[in-house]
Amino acid sequence: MEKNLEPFIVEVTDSIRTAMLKITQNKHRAVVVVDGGKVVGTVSDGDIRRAMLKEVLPMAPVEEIMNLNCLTTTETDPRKQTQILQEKKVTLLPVVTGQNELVDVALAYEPFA
Amino acid sequence: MRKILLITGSRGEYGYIRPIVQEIQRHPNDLDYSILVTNLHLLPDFGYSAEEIEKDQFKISDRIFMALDGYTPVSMSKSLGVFLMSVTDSLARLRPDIVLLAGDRGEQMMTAIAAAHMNIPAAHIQAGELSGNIDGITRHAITRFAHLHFPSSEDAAQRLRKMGEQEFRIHLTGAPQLDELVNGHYAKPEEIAGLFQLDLKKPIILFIQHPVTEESDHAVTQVQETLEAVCSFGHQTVAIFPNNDAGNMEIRRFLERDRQPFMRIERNVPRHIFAGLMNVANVLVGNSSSGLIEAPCFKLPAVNVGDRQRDRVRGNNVIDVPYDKEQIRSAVETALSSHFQQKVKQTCTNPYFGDGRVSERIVQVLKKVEINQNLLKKQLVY
Repeated sequence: MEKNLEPFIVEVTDSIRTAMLKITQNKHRAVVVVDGGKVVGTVSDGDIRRAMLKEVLPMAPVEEIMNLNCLTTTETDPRKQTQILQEKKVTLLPVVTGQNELVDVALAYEPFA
Repeated sequence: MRKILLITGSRGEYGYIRPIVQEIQRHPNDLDYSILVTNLHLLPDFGYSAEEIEKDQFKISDRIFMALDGYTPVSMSKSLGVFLMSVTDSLARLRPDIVLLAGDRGEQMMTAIAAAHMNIPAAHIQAGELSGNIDGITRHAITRFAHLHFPSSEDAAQRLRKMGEQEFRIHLTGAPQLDELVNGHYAKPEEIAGLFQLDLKKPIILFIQHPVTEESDHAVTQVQETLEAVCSFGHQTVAIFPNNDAGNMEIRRFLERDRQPFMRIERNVPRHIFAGLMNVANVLVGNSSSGLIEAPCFKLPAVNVGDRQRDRVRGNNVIDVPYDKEQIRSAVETALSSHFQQKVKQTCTNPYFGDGRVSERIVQVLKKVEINQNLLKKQLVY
């Protein structure tokens, strides 16, 4: 089954609210942030919670709160991706080219389980 | 009881005032303080560094939001107007006995203007130094309005005299932001290694490049030259986002998109962590004043790119280069060479005066200076 990546990606200029909607849809507690196709960060439930505590508004761009140093991989072998997901205890993992362009999002569990 | 109000708008300024607040707290019978927090400290996009002041459990009397969005030369100037209006109300309400200013930024100048008009004495840390661009002009404009000057070098004190400032206003105290460094109050190497996932056995590059206000249209091309030069080494690199001067958004976007996996990006790092980073780094690249003022405390080579620090006094740890990838690359290579590292370790002295007791001297002046018409009525004596 072809995976629909759309609920896993937001643009850097999208609002925090958009990220919250997508996280609700994708059920993976996080989204990948891209700028011109390149991965620039991730936003997780926790990032949003911390932002809300600092009274950042939901209409602020995700750029303000995203994790700038998120884990990415250039690994395309699904078994190795799963290994990284388990080792690093993350729910999703952006798969990128050498130039940091997003090609896939590896998931720790089935998309719509 | 004398009440001192301190103004801070950025992590750099907080570095000046933190040791001073701690020193003020040692005189509970004579001195009280509060901190007015503004500009970068209140912006989430810049790491909301007011949190660091809260964590230190210092008294914050006011939080003045001033930064209009856009970060263009127009919004910078207009933001200062917003701040001048707000700080005036704060001064009227708080009625401090002395306002303590630091450095060369616009919000400090606005406070100096407001205080002078309201007959509140203003004291100015790091007065009289040369620094580049609009900041350098701002520093000397603050001198015109300030009633007490705390230069950090004899050269700066001399300049204040030449500017027509009266001798009794000038106190050669040194640079208070060096107190904590000289006294070893910063994060240990193991803590830094854990926080930034660094291998301390391998070379570490620290990278900070701010936009230059007068050249904000070229901010991206300028930072691109440095980024490409820095990345060509493939060493572990920690990049820290620039301040909010015009051109900063373009720089941030560019760093986010075009960095390599071995480069970490931080919005803001607390001061003792930043000092800890300088302690473990092998070279500092970019145009931050910390390459000139703080880096010598750690015998850390600095590659200083472009004009932002023009005219400032510097030690032999600094290699100056223009915005040119090849020249930056070769300067970083030199800085990382064991020959240069040895030379800096053995011979680098800090041109900025810091013996670990600077804040003590500043606080003594604040405590003892007579507040009278003589202090408040400024005369130019050239």
